[in-house]
Amino acid sequence: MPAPTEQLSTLDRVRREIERAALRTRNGIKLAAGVSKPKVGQTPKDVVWTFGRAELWHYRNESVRFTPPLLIIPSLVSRSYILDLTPGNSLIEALLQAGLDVYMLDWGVPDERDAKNRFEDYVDLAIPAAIRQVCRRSNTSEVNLLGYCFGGVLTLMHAAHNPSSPLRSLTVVATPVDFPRLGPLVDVIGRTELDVDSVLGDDGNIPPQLILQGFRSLAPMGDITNYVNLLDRMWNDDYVAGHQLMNGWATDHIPLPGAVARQTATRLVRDNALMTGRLELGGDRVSLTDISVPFLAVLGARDTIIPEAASAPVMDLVGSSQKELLRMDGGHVGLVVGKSAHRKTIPKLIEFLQQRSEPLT
Amino acid sequence: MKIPSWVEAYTAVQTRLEPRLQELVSTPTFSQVVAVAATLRSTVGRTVDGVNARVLHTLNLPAGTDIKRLRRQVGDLDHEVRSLRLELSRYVEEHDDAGTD
Repeated sequence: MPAPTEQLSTLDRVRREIERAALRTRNGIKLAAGVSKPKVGQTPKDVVWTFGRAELWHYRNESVRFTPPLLIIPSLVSRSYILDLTPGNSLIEALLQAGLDVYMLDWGVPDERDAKNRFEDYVDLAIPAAIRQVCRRSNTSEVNLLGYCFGGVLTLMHAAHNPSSPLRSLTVVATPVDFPRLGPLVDVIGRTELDVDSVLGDDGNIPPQLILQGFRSLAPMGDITNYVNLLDRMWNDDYVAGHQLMNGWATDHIPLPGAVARQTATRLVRDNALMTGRLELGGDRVSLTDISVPFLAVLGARDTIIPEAASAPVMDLVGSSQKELLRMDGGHVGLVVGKSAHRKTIPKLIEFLQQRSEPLT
Repeated sequence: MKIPSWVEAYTAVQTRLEPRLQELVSTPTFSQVVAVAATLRSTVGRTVDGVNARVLHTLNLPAGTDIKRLRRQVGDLDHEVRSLRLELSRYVEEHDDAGTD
């Protein structure tokens, strides 16, 4: 074992500090100049269908061993590349290596053309159309559906409102259902009569900066703490790269369409419609008890963005006879990114999906 | 590895301060203050936009609010067209499937 710091001679310590100071300066300049940003979303893929700003991606996989394919629905407020962060640290990559045929419906960056998008546009139009595309391209009649974060909410609504949708199974990861339990993130909507229209940007959508402010309120000193830790460990290339990746994603939100924001405020937060069964989509009363396909919910016990109290009740709401809860000891991002995710969460996810698939002959 | 004293000092401050700040942002009063600030900012913005628009319209010039309105109208049209396109493709597919069967 290397000698502990306390046993280093004064000369060694001085030498080490000089080296670290040089590395700090070098990395500091790189960070300030914005160079050497790690590349994200590198897994090879093809755009196979578009719908406005949304794109359906089909990830290339020469060794698909299971059917039906998996369709992933990411969040509406953050970038989808968190699911394909970097080579070696990518949920998508792991799913492909497990022999799955993987598609993702990326929402793109909404603009004024998306301001009128309502839940119905995603749940009853875009997702069914994407499922049809997936079935046609992979020559199957069913898909496994997986939703991450707010994308999970969309998949729940889709499955509940479209019982005849050709789903083999449904998986939701870090997905809230008891919205008032999201705490400071939604308190300003839930506890006040704030008119959502008053915070819309010029394009009719909730500006990403506002979404970021909401997330920042969860950890008021989080940004300062991040920078203090970065300054302390700026000599460490791996730490700097990790900081760039995670801080980059965590501050890289996309606008939330105004109409969806209004529905979220009134139906999901103020009415708590998913919990009370009072959700209405396209004039129909929608209840999660109508979901009957095999179901898996994955949540992080240390998730501060979607706390367990907001996500766990989904198990009581979903009507499936086969349903499993996977409660991991991780945070929001840690469910899909990092060593712990690759050691614990992702293998369980793959096991669930493979059990709901058939080997290709 | 020994933690530098300035990091230790920050951690000590953060450990004491963060729970209090979290408590503060969780209070109904904080939510009310944020809501009032957002409404106020929106009202002021609309008032300023209104004054600007009146001045520019007097000179027969389009104002930012006109452009904004046009962008939204184009956006609404795009939304309608997209929805119709999907409805149509679904109809065609169902029609084709029925024909195949």
